[in-house]
Amino acid sequence: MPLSENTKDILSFGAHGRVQNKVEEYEAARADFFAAQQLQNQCIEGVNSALAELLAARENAIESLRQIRRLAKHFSVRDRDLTELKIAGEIELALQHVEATLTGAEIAENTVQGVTLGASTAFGAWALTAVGGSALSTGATAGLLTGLGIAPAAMSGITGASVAAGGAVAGAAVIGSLAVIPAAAAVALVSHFRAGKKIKEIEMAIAEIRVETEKIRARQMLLENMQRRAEEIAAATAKTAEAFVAELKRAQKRIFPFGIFSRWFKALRELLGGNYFNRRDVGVIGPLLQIAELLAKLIDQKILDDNGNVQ
Amino acid sequence: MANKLPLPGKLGDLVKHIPLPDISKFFTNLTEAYKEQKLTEREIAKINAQKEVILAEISARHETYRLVFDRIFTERRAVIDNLFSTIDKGLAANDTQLVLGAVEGLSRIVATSPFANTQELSRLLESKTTIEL
Repeated sequence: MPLSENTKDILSFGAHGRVQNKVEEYEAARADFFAAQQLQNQCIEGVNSALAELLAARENAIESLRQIRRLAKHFSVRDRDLTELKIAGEIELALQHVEATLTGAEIAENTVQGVTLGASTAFGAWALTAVGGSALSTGATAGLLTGLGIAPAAMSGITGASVAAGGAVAGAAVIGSLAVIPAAAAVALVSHFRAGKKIKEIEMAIAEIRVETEKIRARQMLLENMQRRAEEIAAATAKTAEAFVAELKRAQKRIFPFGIFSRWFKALRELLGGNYFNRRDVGVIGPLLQIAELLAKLIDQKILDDNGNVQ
Repeated sequence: MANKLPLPGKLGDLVKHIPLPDISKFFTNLTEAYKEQKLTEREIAKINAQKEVILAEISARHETYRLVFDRIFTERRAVIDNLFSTIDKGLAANDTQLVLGAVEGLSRIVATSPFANTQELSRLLESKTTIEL
């Protein structure tokens, strides 16, 4: 017949109870660790969702930015009568930057089509690291953090499994060794004194788990910051794209006040050796291209550096 | 008269039945176990103290970082929101220059990493320097 806890406690002069109490403390520390890990998983979901939002904002922004090509194809800084305009030089530089961004996005898109990878894998990597980042070489939108190597298992030096195993070792083994009922009171007294060794082992395991729990909380903060940073860039990109589209429409109305007729007229002028755009048009295109360039910069804004750290 | 057995409970009589070396060994073991227990108690106290110090330090550092980042992101959010409303005003008033100015500001703030001074902050926290505010 198994002995009751009380009997074991009496027979070991309180040693059994002391160890039991420490094991309970250890179990509480483990529960705390698992709770922190669960919270971290929620944070990872939040980051994934923010990254997906950023990806969508960048895709939309690129679509908007592409419209500038319809104007850009008619513009050349070497056009006569425009060379002396300072803004013409600025336009040329802005166009180069915008074109570089669009080309980067298109290369990523073509890679996706070429190797028929899962949707947005390569494009997602490009859009989030935006030029030159290597951290996101794998992982589609839904599992970007896994691709980044910061999924829960990789993020934690001490895993759930190791804690569980530690629990079994520190718990069952200790209880097991003390559950041997001393044959005589004298042996019980020795057992009482020696329980301290077991308690020390459990105490060390508790310290390790609590430090690891704190580390998880630190990573949680890192993830929260990453989420906030992604949301910030996504919101700024979406707003700038909105402003760009509105300004583009307005510019087009001013440059082509009579729609297709204005286009024909400009094309005819170019055919006869003149410039497609006049000075007034350049004055309208200048600020628009500056906005386009700023939008391109936002699209190119890295969220992670080459080491996978949040920028 | 027949030999009488000693009454149980008398220590002197008990000694006659238990060999002396065993009693001596028992007390030696007990003393050793007691000493070991005292040593272990001191070690446990040391582990506990170290654990508490480390945890308190980690926890305080995290709190500082959390506070700093909360402030940084809140400030940035406020500036970004202001720039958003300026863009809206510019678009409503057909004022391209106003829109351009706000977008420039937006680009500048987003290009500046909120974590730019993290290393400096870490260094200060590591050095335990008193920061005059």
